[in-house]
Amino acid sequence: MSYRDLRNFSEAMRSLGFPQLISLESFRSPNWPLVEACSRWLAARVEPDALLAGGADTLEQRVALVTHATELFHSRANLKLNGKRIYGADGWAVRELLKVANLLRSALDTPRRDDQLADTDMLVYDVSNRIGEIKQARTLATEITAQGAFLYDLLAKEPDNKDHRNKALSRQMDLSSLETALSRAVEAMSSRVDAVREQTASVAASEAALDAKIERRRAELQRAEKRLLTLQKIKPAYQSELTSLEMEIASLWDQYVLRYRCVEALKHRLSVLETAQAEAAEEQQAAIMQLIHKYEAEDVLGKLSDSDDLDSSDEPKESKQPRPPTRPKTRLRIKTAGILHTHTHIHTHTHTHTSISPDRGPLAPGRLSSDSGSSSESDLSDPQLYGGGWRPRPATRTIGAPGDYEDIVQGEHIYVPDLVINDVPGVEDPVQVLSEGSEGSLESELRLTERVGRNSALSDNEF
Amino acid sequence: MKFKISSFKEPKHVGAVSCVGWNNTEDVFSCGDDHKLLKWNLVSGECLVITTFPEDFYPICLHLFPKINLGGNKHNDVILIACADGKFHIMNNNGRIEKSVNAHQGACLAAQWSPDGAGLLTAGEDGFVKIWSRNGLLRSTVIQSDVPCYSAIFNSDSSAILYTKGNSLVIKHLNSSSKTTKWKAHEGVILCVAWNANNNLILSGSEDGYSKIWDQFGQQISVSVKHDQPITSVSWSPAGDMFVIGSYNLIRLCNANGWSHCLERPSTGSIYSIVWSSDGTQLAAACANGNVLFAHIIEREYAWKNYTCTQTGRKVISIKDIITDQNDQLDYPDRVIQIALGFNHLVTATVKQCFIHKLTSWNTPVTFDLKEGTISMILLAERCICVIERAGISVYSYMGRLLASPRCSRPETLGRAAVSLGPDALALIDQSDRKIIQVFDLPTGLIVRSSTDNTVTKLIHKMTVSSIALSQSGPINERQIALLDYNRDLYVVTVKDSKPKFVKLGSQILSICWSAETELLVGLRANSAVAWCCPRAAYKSDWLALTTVTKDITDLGRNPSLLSVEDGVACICRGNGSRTHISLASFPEKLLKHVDANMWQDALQLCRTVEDETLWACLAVLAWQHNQLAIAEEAFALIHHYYQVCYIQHLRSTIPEKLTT
Repeated sequence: MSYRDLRNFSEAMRSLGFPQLISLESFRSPNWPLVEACSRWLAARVEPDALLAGGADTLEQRVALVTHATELFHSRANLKLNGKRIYGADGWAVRELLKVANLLRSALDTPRRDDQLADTDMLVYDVSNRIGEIKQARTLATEITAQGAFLYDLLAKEPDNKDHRNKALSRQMDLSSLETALSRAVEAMSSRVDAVREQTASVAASEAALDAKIERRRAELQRAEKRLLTLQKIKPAYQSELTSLEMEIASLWDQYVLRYRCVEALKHRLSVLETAQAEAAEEQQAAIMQLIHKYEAEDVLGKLSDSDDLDSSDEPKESKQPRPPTRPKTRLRIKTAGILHTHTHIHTHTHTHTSISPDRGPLAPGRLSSDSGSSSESDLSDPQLYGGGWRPRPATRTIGAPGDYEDIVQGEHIYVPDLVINDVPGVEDPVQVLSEGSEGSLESELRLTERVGRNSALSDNEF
Repeated sequence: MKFKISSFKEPKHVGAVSCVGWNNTEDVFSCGDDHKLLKWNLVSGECLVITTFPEDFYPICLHLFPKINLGGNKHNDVILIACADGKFHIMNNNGRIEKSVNAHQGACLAAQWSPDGAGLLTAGEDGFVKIWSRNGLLRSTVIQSDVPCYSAIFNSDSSAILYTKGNSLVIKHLNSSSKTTKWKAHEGVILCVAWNANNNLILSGSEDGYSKIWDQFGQQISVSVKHDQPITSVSWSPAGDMFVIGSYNLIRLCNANGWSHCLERPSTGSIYSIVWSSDGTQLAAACANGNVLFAHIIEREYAWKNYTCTQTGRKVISIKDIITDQNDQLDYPDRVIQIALGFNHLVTATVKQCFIHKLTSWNTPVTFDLKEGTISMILLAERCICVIERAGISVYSYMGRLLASPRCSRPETLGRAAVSLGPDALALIDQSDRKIIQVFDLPTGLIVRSSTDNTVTKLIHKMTVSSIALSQSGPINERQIALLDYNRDLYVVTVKDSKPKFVKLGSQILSICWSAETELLVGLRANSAVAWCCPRAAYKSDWLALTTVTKDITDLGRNPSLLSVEDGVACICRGNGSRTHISLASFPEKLLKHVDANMWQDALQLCRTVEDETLWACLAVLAWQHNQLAIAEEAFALIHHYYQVCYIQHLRSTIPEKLTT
């Protein structure tokens, strides 16, 4: 049974608000300090002024405490407790103390529940009224203080007033003067009353006028609102047209963006390609320069051996001319091809192939003939010639094979390496390079260049 | 999530109520110090006095016989009551005492039927824990000690007993070979314990005001805040995803990770006992001031894509479409037990029926009747719904037609991690031997087979499996199952292989989830999330490494879980209950979708646009697996696997002429 009692006791003490924790294991062995604390606390709950005698130190003090406690509970709460059991401070003591705790708890329970119910009812019923009351009470309180202050001020004036009063009381009364004064006062008052009446009448009139005005304004407002509504309902003209145009513009914008992106992408590709080509050209140039030097060296050697052949050769045009150095000749040949291709290369940026090939026809021979004709007159210095002549050479490839260019448009990468690979063997012989480079539609040009090439070769030989 | 507490206005008990128990999901028995056994009906709100016991009958503990299918022989004596005089009584539903046994000296403090119904245990103030047969004959005295045992319970398969000894907890295995585990758990006397069958975690509450969660080896999982008063009762929900603790004037609902869902302070006095109903949505509490408190859980929230739904009342669900700002209240005739939202459907189970709402037109649900009232889980997949009841597992189509009912023993003990539904298969961890995974084929399409000829595939792992997940897409022959074992290692198996091979993907994985639309598997580590884009590439470790995306996440907390994966965005529930969305593998998932739709050009374009190595690797592996040699060649070249490129070129060059055309 002790488990249940302990459980109920600890629950009861908890709900009574006992500050200490009563563990379920507290009274397994006699636990006098807790029994003492509980009984003192319960005694204080039963009788607030009571202070239990005794203590924990000696046997006498403990007995005194138990007897005092039992007496107190017997007299105040009409509960008979077994002191011997309390003194034992074990499970049986719990049962004794539980009687007190239950009594207090039931006392705690019953009214609280009613109170709660009543309170909640009131609260639900007239909360708003109560708020009004609070306001009322507050105003009353301020009024009372204000009145008090006023009263205080009046009382402060009382000594002065007393003198005046006494003086007035001591003065003699003059009846006639009093009467006239009164009649005057009455007249003045009546005139004021009349004035106030007139004022009230005029106020009523102005009120009516204001009412009328308000009514008018309200009617105006209503009308204006109606008009606003109708205006809002009307769909503005050109709305559909506007939306359709907007949509059209949006689609056009999309198209534009797409095309712009494509153009940009293509431009980017093109620039990449150009740089690649430039690099390749420089390499080639270097290679060709080497070749040229090699040939020159060979030529110098050959000159020594073939000097007889040169003398016997029968070329009037060439022999008539002042002997141009071998190197400018070669350069010139290269340059003509190069310049030509530079032009065409520039064209590739702006036009398509079909537009380039026709206007290359007239341009190329002119250029060539003029260059071949005035080869010695050309005042271009060597580096210029080299620079301008050879760099854009690969561009001739670009033009020569339109299919390749289409590949670029499609975004294929194969083009550039292909070009480089094909070009490398072609460098071996400049003439051959040129003849390879020019195809189909450029046949006339090809012939010209070949002729020039032959000429130059001949001149080389002559030299 | 919070409680809605309803208590009857006038307490029908005089004096403290010491114990409550659920008869079924509607009826509650309660017994208190006024010697009355009461039966409360929650639907009609009635309260009947079943019987009045003699004057010296002070109940301490009440337990009802577990609802198990014992093959027909219906026993009627089901209520077990332990009393303050050391006796325990077995009585039938009408309150007639069938058997009274004098069990302990002092009070009998705890009594419980074993989960399999074979026997019962009692624990007393004299420190003894005894096991009795069903008829009340003493089988064995398991524990003898000199300290009162305030609480003792069986574990889920009746193989071990957990009991309290002062301020420590002890697990005693009933087969004598195993060692007992004992640890000091609290500073004060432990008053109450609970042991969940699903997650195998132990909950204890003590006089020092703390409640703590332990695993079965005595390691502390989490500890509550300090309460002012002793914890007098604790209880796990049946699914193990939350628990409730009761104290003086206090009842608190917590998540299984230990953080608090809600706290209520009803003026009830100490709560001596809390019991969940078997469906896990409502609970009854015995209060010291004579009240019996009933609470049910509302404001459970679910979200899927742009839809959210919240249970706002017992029978009301409010659903909202966030994009169109369209919301609605769905009223049901009965109490709502389970809700599942996903795959464009809202499925709701009430006590008697199941409602399937299409999210496009949620006012016209498809309805079918449930077998029994206690539904413990609803799972959704692309084409079917799985409803797990105590009576069994059933799979329905979204039109409400029964597709299959796989056999399983004690389905109510299945946890969320132990079952997984795919579009055409259902996988379960075998409850008797947790190394075995059973995969049931579900009838799909037009062919309707009878429920008996469902083919079952058994996969046997070398370790105890703790969590499984079926992939949600792809044809049935490539159905994969991901499993986490006891060591937290992640394995993937293709179910339909003739020789299933368990391929290990990673270790130290806490939670896994497949993407709902593709074969993207996401796992969660302690401080990172990992996405395996091609789990089927796992047999080549370098391919697996290339196609894995890892993202570090800080402060995930303890025991985080993955809720869903949509479009490469993982929704993670952190340890403290907050949800985060992590964009993990959006491009790979997009790529997988393209591949699933056989749109290889789009996939290629995606890879070219993004130019990410992982993406190219995914494409390479997928193209290789789908025999798209040209694409695979390009992709392998871009991830610098030139030997593979050479191999593919060799393959392509040796293809006979007639095959290419």
